[in-house]
Order: sequence, then C-alpha cells, then structure tokens
Amino acid sequence: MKKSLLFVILTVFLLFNLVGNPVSETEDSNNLTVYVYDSFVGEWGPGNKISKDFTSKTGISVDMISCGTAIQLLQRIESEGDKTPCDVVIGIEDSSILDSSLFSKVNSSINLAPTLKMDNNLVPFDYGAYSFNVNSNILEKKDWPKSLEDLTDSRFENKVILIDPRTSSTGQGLLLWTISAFGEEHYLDWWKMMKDNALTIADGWSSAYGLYTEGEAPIVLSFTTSPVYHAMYEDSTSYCSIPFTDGNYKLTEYGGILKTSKKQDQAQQFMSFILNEAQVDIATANSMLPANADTILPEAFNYADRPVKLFQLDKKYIEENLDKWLKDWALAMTE
Amino acid sequence: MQSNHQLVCKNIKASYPQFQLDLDFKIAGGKLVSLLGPSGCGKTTTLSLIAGIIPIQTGEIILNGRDITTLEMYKRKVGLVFQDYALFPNMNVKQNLSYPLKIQKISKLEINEKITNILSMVGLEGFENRDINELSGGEKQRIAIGRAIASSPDLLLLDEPLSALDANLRTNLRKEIKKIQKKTELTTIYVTHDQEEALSLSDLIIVMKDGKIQQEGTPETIYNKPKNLFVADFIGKGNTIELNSTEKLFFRPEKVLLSQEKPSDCLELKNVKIINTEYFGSTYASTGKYKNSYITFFSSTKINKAEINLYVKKRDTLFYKNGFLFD
Amino acid sequence: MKKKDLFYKISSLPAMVILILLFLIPLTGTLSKAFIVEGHFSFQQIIACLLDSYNLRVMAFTVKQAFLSTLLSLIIGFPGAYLLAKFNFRGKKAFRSLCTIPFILPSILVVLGFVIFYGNNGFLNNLLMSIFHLSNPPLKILYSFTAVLLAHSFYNFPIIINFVSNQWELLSDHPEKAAATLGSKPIKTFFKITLPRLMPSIISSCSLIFLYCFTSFAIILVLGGGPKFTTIEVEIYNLAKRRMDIGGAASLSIFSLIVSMLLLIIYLHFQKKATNQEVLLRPSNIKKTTSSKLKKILIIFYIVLLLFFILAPIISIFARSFITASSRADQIKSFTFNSYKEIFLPNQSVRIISSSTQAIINSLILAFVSSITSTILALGLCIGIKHKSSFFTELLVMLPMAVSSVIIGLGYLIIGRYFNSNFFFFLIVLAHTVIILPFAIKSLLPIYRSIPSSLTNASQLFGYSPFRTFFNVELPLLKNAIITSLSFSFSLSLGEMNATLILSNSKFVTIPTLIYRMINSYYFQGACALGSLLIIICFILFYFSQAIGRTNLAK
Repeated sequence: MKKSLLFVILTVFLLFNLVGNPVSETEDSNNLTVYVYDSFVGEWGPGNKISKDFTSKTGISVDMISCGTAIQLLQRIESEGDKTPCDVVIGIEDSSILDSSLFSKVNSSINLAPTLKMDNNLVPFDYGAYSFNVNSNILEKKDWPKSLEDLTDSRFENKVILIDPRTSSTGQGLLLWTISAFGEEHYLDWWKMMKDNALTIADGWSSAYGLYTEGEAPIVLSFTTSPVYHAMYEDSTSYCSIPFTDGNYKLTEYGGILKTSKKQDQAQQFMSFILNEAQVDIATANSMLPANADTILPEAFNYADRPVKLFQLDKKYIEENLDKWLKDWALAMTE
Repeated sequence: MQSNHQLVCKNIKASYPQFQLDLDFKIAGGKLVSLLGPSGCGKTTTLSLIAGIIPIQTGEIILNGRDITTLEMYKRKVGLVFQDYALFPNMNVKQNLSYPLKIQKISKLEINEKITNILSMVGLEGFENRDINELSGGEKQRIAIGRAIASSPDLLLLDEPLSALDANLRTNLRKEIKKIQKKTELTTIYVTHDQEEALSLSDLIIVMKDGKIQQEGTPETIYNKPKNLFVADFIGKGNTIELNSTEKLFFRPEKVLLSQEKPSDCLELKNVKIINTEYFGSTYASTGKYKNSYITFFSSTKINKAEINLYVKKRDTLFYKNGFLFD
Repeated sequence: MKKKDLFYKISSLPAMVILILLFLIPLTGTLSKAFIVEGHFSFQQIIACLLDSYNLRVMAFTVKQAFLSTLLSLIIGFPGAYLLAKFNFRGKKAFRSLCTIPFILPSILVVLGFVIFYGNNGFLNNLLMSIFHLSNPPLKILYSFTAVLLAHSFYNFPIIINFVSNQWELLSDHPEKAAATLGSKPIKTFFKITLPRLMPSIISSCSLIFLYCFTSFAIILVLGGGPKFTTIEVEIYNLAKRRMDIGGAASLSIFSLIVSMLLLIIYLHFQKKATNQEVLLRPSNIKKTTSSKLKKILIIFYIVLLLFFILAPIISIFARSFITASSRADQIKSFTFNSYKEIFLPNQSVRIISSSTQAIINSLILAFVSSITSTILALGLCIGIKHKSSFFTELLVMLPMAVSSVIIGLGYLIIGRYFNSNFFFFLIVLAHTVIILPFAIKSLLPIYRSIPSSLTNASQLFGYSPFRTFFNVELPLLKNAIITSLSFSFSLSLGEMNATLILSNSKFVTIPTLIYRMINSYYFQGACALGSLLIIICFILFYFSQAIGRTNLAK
C-alpha cells in the first residue's frame, strides 16, 4: 500500500515538471505582443494566418494573446497600465470609452470605407452591420420580414432567435439598434412584442447561430456578412441576410498602438499590414467588411447584403445610459 | 511478580451527563480485576480513560511505574478488547494477529511462531487463513483476545467481551479467558454487568455505581459482606426485611432454612405466604410474602403448603443502617 | 476536549492552505469591491443590491429552479440508486457507467445534445413528424421552464445514483428485517426506516446538485427560452464581463453567497443529525434477484426509461458527429467519418488549427494530476473533519461551488498576474482541484465517518500512531470510495471548461476548450466528434474503475 502511494506521488511530480514547463518566451526585439479578443486568434479567426504572413514578410515574430471579449481586452490594458507588455491592440469596439492618451498615432493612411473615421488614434480595421439572417429553405423570400417592425408580426411566432444584450455584445448591438430605430420611449414595446415571436433569447451569438443552423428556427440575429462563410465554404446560398427598408445598425472594430510600447517602429509596420495585406483575411475570417475601401473581395462577398442605411448611436450617449437601458430591458422582459 | 502496584488510578474525576466519575484504585500486577456495575455507571468510560481514548482532565494514571496520564494511546502499552471485537475486516485472521506484532520489529519467523502459539492458546489452531467475516461470534472474540495479547501489553482491558454471545458460549469462554490470563500473568481489567461472570473470574471485584466505586474486594468478601445495600443487591439475589425506616436486615436466599421447628440461633419468619414457585431442574425457587417484604428461598422439593415458616441463622444475616453495613 | 494529535491537526492543512491562498484570498479581494463606493468604504452598494426588488425576484427564481431541479434529479435518480445497491443484473457495470456520463459533460454539449434531440428540428420531432405525417413539430419541449428542469436533472441525477447507491450498499438490512418481523409493511419500512438511514448521502448529493443548478448559466439561457428565467448568475455575468462593474457584480455575488450558504448550513445541519446506523464495512455481496413478475416489469420499465432519458442526447451527439449537415437545399445529409479524421489532422485551410490529439493528451494528463491531487487533499480534509469535526472546514470546502464561476474567474485573473506563464499548468491543476474538491469530499466523507472508532482506537492501542493507523487500517476500507472519488474527479477534470477557459492561453488546449472553440466556429460536427470521444473515454474509465473496485469482494 505504501509503495504504490509513493509511486503515485512521484508520478504526479514528474508530470508536473514534464508538462508544466513550456518553452519560455524570449524577449527579443524582433517580437511584437499583440492583444486580441478570443475569436480573433481562435481556430476560426484570422490571427494565426496574419501572424505567419507578417513574420514571413518582415521577419518580426508576433505573439498574439487572447484576452477574452473585447471589453475584457480593454480592461486588461487599463489595469496593466504602464507595465503592459502589449504593443498593439486589435479589437476595440466602438461602444467602449477610450482614453486617447493611451495610443500613438498610426502612420498608415488608407482609403477608409464610407462612414468610417479615425477615432482617438485608433484605426478601424473592419466594420459590419447587424442584420437578421434567414434560412431561405424554410422561409421563402416573399415571406421575409421587411423591417424591425415587420418582425413583430404574428406570422413569425416562434420563428426568431434573439440574443440577450446582457450577456453578449451582439445582443447589445440589437438593443442599441432598437433604441436607435424606435427611441427610448418605444424600444421596449418592440421587445415586448417580440416575446411571442422569439423562439429563445440565447446567451450569445454562437448558441444563437448554432440553433439556427440546426434548423430550430428560420430567422436569427447575426451580421450582413454571415452568408459569406456559407457561400465560400459550403457552396451554399440558402442562408441569406434580410435587407431591411430602414437600414441596419453598424459596428466597427479598431486597432491601435500603445504609447508605452518600446517597439513603435515594428508596431507601425504591423498596423500597416493589418490595414492592407491582411484586409481580405480579416474580412473573410471575421465575416465583416474591410475598412480599407480599396480591398478586392472574393466573389462570395456579393452574398452579403449591402445595407440601405448604416447608423449608430453616439458613444457618449451609450455610455451614459447603457446601464439604465439594460436594467429597464431586464425589468420589461422578466415581468 | 512485582510487589509494587501495577496500575494506579489516582483521583480521577470527570463530569458526565449521567454521572460524575470519581475513581481512586490500585491493581496489583498479574491480577484479574472486574469492574462490575449496571449499565451507564461509567465502567466503559473508565476503560476509555485508562486506554487514552478519552483524555483525562483531573487525576493521574500510573502503569508499571510510568505516568501515562497525558500519553498518547499508541504509547501506553495498554491492550483493549472492544465489545464489537474491532477486528480489521479487510485482513484475515493471520493478518489481524500479526498486526500488533509487525510494529514490534521482530522477525517474520518469530511472528509466525507467536501466531501459532496464540491460536493454540485461544483454541483456534489452523485458523490462520480464515476470513474474519466468516467467523462465528465466539471465534471472533477469541481472535480479538488473542490479538490483544499478541501486543504484549502492560495492562489488558476487556470491555464486556462476552455480552454478545449465548449463555453456553459465555460460560465456556469465560473459563478460557481465565485460563489465558493465568497463563500470561497479564494484569487485566474485565468490565461486565454480569455478576456471575465477575464472581467466577475475578481476583478482585470493583463495584461501581453512578461513576463511583461502591466497594473493592475479593468475590467472597463482596458477596458475603457487601458494604451497602446496592452492592448487596447487585452481586446476587437477596432478601431484605425492613425493620424500620433506616434499618434493614439482609440475607441470601440459599441461607434460608426450611424446618419443622425453629433451629438454634435463628431468625424466625412465621407464616410466610407462598406466592409462586419456579422449577430450575436442580432446585425449586419460591417467593413468599412476609409482612411487607418478599422472601426468595430454595428447596429441593416442591412447596405444597400455602404458608410456611422460614428460618435464617443469625450469623448469616447482615444488618444495614441507612443503607450501610453495620458490623 | 478534542483529540490532540499532530497528524489530525495537520492533515487538513494542505487543502486548507490551497483553498485559502488560491481561492479565499482572491475571492475576498474581488468581493471587497462591493464595499467600495466611489473610493471609500460603504455598505451603500450592497444594501441597495439586497433590497432591489428586481434582484429579489431574480433570486427567488434562482432558488426555485434550483430547488425543483434538485427534486426532479432526486426522483429520477433514486430508483436507480435502489437498483444498483440491491440488485445484480447483466450489464450492470455498463448501466452504471452510462448513468454517470451526463454529469461530466461540459454544459455546452448538454445544450447541444438536447437541441439535437428534443429541438423543434430535432431527431424526436422529425421522427414523429415522419411517422404521423405532421407538418409542424408536435413536441415543443425546449425553450421552456420544463426544458431547464429536464436538462438540469439529466446533468445531475448521476450524483444521486452514485452517492446514494454507494451508501445504500454499505447499510446492513437488519433494521429492515427487524421491522418486518414487527409487522411493518414494506412501504412503511421504507419511509420510516430506510429513508432516514440514507439521509447523509441524500443530503450530500442534493446540496451539491442544488449548488450546481444555482449557478447554472448556459443551460438556462438557451434552453429556457428567454430572460423570464434570468438567474443571479446571468446578472453577475452581465455586470462583471460586459459592464465591467466589478463592484456591482461583487454585491450580487455576496447576495448569492448568503442565500446559498444559508441553505448549505441547513443541509449540513441535517446531515449531522443523521443517526448512527448499522454499517457494513464492505458492500454486501448478497443482492436480490427478484422473482416477482411485476417487479421485473417495473425494473425493466425504469431502466428503459432512464436509458432513453440519458442516451437520447448522448446518442444525438454521436449521431451528429457523423452527419455533415449542409445548408444547401439540394444536399442530403451525408453520413461520414470525416469529422473524426479532421479533428485529428491539423488542417491549415479553414477550421482546425490545433489537433485534437494534443487536446486529448493535455486533458488526460491534467485530469490525472488533478484527480490524484484532489483525492489526496480530500482524504486529508476528511481526516481533519472527522477527528476535529469542523463545521467551518466543511463549509469552506463547498464554497467554490457556491460562488459564481465568473467571480472565481476574476479572482484567478488576479492570481494569474503573480505567476508567469510557466506556472499556468500548475495553476490550472490547482483550479481544477479546488473545483473538484467538494465532490471528492462528498464521496469520501460519509464512508470515512462510518468506520467505527473502535477500529481506529484498536490500531492505536497496538502501538500504531494515528498516521500509521490511517494508512494501515482506515485507508484499505476506503478503497471503493477512493476509486469513486478518483474516477469522478478524473472525469470532472476532463469535462471542466469554465476555469480552464479563463486560465489557459491558446497554446494549452484541453478537450472542452477545443469543443468550445469548435462550437464558436459553429463547427458542430467536429464538436460532436470530440464530444463523442470524451464520452467514450469516460465510459471506459467508469467501467473499469468499477471492475477494480469490486474485485476485492470476489475473494
């Protein structure tokens, strides 16, 4: 009994040492640390390919560190302060308050797509629009909803998958969209009317979209560019983005160089790469539209719906009221 | 054997919900002492204190010259045979017996030899490889005793070892235990509530009630000269006659004489009304009412009369004043 | 006066140290933010939080769904416990292994399994629609409160089955036999005698299940169908992860902690009161084989129902891994092994960049180390608890389960800064250990407590110190419980996702994190393939651990 126990303890310690010591990262000057959000560097994200391509072009190696969600990204940088090892940040969303003094000016100048602009030394690298996607195999084009308001019609009962704004940025986007469209007085009415039409209000985009692709309901909240993926990799055009007569809510993603970085030169090269050579990869992988208006996109992008109108609420307005809106929303929906 | 006392319990005091323990006694080496008393009088508690299962608040325990009062259990060299035998269920007989031997750092050969000896001492030769769970109650008890002896303790404690066994087994095992104790010359404390057991086994009996020692003495002394009425009643059947509110007369049933006329130097109990008679094979035991008391007596033939005169030799009676023996 | 011995005093120390350093301290750090309003100490925030009517409503619902889920799990699992404890039948080991699988699945797989099977477009509905020629799905089980309860009990009934049957096996049936001779009818005997004797394990398992359901997240949101079923966890998640309002999240977390701790204390109190019973020290070999036809039918009925309940979502996951679903109208769903190939071969082009091989190896090593660590620590804690009966210790150990995983995650982020990346494996192991510990203890403690003190005392009187007594006498009697603890801990670690996601970087993949990533890339087929492998590994594990555990009975 004792001998086997000893053996077990030894094995445990051996394993600890074996697996617990990955090769330590060398801090050399030809290495950039880039903070990104989870899905950027995940299996499906553009991160890995971009890192490889950049390194083979410039010889500078890239360390992409995923920091969770876009908001956690920001929090991490703020809490790390001056000592942050981060050189470049990719993935700040426009709904967050930013301290402009944190970032250096980006030297690249590109032809920005319409409605985009530089923001406090942060450069947009892609943008997109929220939209409702539909499975045209189940719902014929003639039956599609034409606007947010149309979506509340009783013919869509249990046919729409929505997303919770408290747990998901996509859901939050929809909330802001409704506020933008109906104003603070009436947006909750839309949501209340949607209660019957919503099959479920999922915790995040992946659950929601998953339920959609599994056929649980024909309409889901997603992005205008979501159909691109299916066109490119599944050779399928069944999933479509519904064009709304009154336009779509916009979202923009930004990147920036931290002032505290000691590798300003390399960082500038990286940002330039992001804004030029990497645009196609980013757009494809992120299912978004490239910020660089000169980018030539694959044909599949024709299946992305071009919104009639793109709009967005003012950043400060959002930040001042978001807590209240979320609270009101929760109260209204849990009655 | 040593002339100094093997076990000394000095001034042991402890407070419990059912009783206040207050002990002070000595046990000479090599003797078998019974702790006798009704359930809940503190016998098992006493054993636990001596073994170290319960820590001592007040008092001292000295064993073989060593002060073991604050010593941990595993350093006391006290052996205890538990009521539930406490045999290790995942080990067979041999492994159970060798358990205390292994820690003594003796060779394997010696261990095997000792085990054979112990098994023959308890009358279970050849039981080495038996599964504990397949043994009968009596066999388990014997192995438990054997195991305790194997540990060569300075003191052996037995906690009502036979109470779970049937009558026949009890009487037989009792003799074996006495035999083993005499052979090993182990100082032994034997806890029981059975007075017959205590009388037959012990060199010395300590009678307890409510945590306090009522009387210490040889079996004969305790039986024939019980210090108080409690002991008198507990140690064997007895008859009590109330003389007045504070004075009582006490005598054993076997001392009651049946006679046609009054024998010399006797107490006469006239016109005792017979209430019932029980047949025990070797004797008849009858109960009769005399004034306000019930008298039990024995006879070799059945009592047919409704009333009878009974006699007790005065020297066979004990006089108790306020519950205590008045000599 | 308690026993004073060094061994008993220090045996729970390692676990306590880890719990305090790696959990309690970061936790209090995070929770203290609830008391800081605008830079200075104040109760204002937390009082406002506790009195808010919305919060109270949400809390009431959280308690309600946890309570009902626990009840349902108990009802579903209890007959199974009876079956396993009292009967022998062919395929028993397989049945038991199957019954344990749901518990170790990451919650996302559970959700997935349910959607695939019970969904509007799921197997069940499609089957019924084709059989009865319906145009609309007849069973609208999902996206409702019922679905939440169902999913929760699917997830948790294995706890009841395993814990209760473990204890039941060790109860001698003398009291029941005695009752029968006194004229007590079987049902009366059951309620008056058997049930009270089973209380320790019933209460242990119910308290665990309650806590799991209390802090449940994904299942409620997706399968519940909407914010109507908001729980406190959702609100905490919202505040901590999205609003970055740590103070607010901390306040809610404290609220949540108070409620769950109160309930836990009540539970533990009842557990202590459970009477001493006649215990066997090894599971009884004597099992019934019933001749009663009615009983046989009932048993078969229950087994079939249970298998359906368990297997349905599991088989869906298996099945889905073979089917390439496509959105093209003209493409039929095709049956293929492709996904299994794909997840193992790193495929640069599109989907998978890290191979499942690495994930499996990492997970196995992690699980191996974590399970051993937590079992050893749990044993230490059991020793300490039994001999020094510390209520506080028991409560502290259960604490990680009562705290929102989001808050724990925040705490770990803080710790993570003090460790450089080389230690992250160490950190993950410890995180897993903390999470697994309550479970290991619950499997070991009741059994350990039932070892008669006379055995321990006897050994010590023979000269064995408490330390040696533990190894020579008590440990062998815990063999079965240890095996249960190890195999459950192992599987728990294999399926652990939340803490691992927070702590690991993208280089260290485990099976669940890879499944999570695949689902996020909506590569469901691959997620199901890897999930199926996880299920198979766990099944084999449980099956063989039973075989090892029970060979010593065959002697």
